[in-house]
Amino acid sequence: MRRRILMLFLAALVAALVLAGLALWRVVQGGQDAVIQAAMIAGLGLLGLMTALWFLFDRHLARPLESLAGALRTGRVPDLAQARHLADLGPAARDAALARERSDQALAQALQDHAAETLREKASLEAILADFGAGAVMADARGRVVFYNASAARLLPGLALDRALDTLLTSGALRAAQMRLSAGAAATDLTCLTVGGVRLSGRLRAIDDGLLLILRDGAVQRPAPRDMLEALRRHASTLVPMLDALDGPIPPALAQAIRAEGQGLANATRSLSRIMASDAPGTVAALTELAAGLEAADLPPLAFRAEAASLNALLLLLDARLRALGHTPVLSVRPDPDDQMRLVLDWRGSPVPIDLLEGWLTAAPDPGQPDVTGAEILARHGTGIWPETDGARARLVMPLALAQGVADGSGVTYDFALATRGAASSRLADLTCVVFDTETTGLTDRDRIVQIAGLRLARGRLTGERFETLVNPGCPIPPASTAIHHITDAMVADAPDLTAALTAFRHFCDDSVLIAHNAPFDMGFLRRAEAQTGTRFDNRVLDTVLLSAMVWGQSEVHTLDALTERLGIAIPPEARHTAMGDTIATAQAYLALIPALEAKGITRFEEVVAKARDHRALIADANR
Amino acid sequence: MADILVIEDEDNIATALDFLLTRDGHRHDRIATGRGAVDRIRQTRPDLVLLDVMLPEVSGYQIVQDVRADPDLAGVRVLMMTARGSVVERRKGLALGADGFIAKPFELAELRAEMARLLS
Repeated sequence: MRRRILMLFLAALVAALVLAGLALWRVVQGGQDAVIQAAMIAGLGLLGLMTALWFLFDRHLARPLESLAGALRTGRVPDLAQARHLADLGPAARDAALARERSDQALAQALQDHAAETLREKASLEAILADFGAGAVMADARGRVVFYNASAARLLPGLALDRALDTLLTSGALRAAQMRLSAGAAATDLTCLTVGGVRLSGRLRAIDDGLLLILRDGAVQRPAPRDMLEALRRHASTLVPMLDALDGPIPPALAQAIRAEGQGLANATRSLSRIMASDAPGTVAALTELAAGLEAADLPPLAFRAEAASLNALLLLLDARLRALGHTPVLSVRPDPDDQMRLVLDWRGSPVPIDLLEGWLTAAPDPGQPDVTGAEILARHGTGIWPETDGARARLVMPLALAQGVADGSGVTYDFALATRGAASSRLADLTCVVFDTETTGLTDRDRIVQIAGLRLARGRLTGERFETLVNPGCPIPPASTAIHHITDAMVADAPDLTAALTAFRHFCDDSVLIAHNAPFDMGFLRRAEAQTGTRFDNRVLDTVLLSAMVWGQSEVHTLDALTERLGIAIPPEARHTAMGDTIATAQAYLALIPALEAKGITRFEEVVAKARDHRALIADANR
Repeated sequence: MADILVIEDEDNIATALDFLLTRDGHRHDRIATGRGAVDRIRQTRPDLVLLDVMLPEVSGYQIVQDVRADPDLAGVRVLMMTARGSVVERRKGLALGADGFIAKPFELAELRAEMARLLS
């Protein structure tokens, strides 16, 4: 607009100039009349007037109009001072902009409230599903897991997102139940076995295109046969040593028969005792629940096979009795050689006489169960408690079994978008993978694993499922290795051995492509252990060293530090050379490498394997 | 041949132990309650105490805790016997200072082997 006005004024200016020019020409020709002089003055006057008028028009009308239009387009509130020559247009535009701003703000607030409400509902539903006693597993139309809760993870070892449900249960029962559903039933009961042979019962329901499986622990709750056990013990206790001592007048065959019977009786009581001692509760309690109301040291995020209410009540009772004696006990947990963990109430001062402690255990500490004594609570947890001393300090010690599979006893794991992301394929972006790293006692074939960490990826995203364990190598860790990964002999003293750790890791990475940085090194440790542990790792393997070489060429440096730096991935220095820190870095590097490989035309696993042949001279392929 | 103190309230077990220890040639004595047991151990200084856990008045656990709290009695071996033979009971007994722990019903060979270990 400003240009058009400028052109208009320029035209008037040119006209005035022409007039003034003509008058000037006449003067030059010798004209002296008054008309010429007047025309010249008028022409020059008009020139000045036009310039002044244009300047005023541009400054007070054209520019403010342009600025107003800009403000209206961008949603800014226009400046009224600029638009003061536009009569009511400025205030009107300002009012309109303010109204729009208010409505924008109201809309944003409404969206924010709605999002917060959705988040709250999501958190509540997650909480309900997490604490819902039964195991819940949801699978998509192709039978791949898209949701599970902590109870399901406990019941089904190896449960993970994007894993086929029928690989976790013996498939016959599941297929039969699906057949009943397809015959028209909305839901159907089933009894099935896990691949580990544990019997579970549950209910299968068809939802949308998928399945919802609710699982209950198949173990039958039986009344504890305590009276019978006591009678058995009493008779056997007197019978067996006496029978052993008798000889002489009794015929040898009879003596032998009596001895055999006595032996049978003794064995029966022993097995019955073992069964009862292993009857730890099926419920899971977080350490924070057990420690509620107690003074506690820094507590790790552990969960125990325990009834939170009764055991917490017992600990509170012991704490109160100790305080009545003038002690100030602090609760902590320590590794325990036999029972995984021990709860310890520790104080400075004299130890408690055991009979005084046993006396405290005759009280019923849990107001919810007024007929259950402290001793009975301990028996129900398959444990006991006793005093120990250590110089000027004394403590009470209670071993307690850790809950399997759950670290914090909470949480649901899901990615419903898995169901919409199409069938799994061998495309790198579609693979289900476990990125892992091991820390070891050294770099030779004779060295052993001391730590394993793994993260699951499904269809190009981290699923949030992680595996992390220290491993007892059964030999001292050389100080030079400890200097790198900071894992000491003391840290692994109570860790699972290689067989237990690799069996658990095998469950975690079943069905998945294994990814490691310098995979031949880590796969070498897993495969050399096969003979010892009986756990085979026949997974397909990807090596981020090899993938890096395919993108940047072999002459580049392909260390994890160099690779992550090239990809702009930051590893906190304290996380470097921890199995989980390096695993996270490798996983991020792999995800960032996928588009770079695709740009080079390498999109599928088979193409990586084919391309790996070009690099074979320098970099080994870890695939079998 | 050793000096053995049996602390056991169950008469039938005590009779059986008396028979076995006599046959194996050990000097032995028996008391049937926990009360005064530690004083008796201080007086007689047996080589080995066969100690039942569930005793009237003072428990076997309390006796072993008191014996281990007295440095003068460091040479006295204590073998605990209990009908509550769970792993945690064994650990409790050993944590309190028992030298051995044997679950009832025990077999003669088992008792002999455990006694021989503690007396060697």
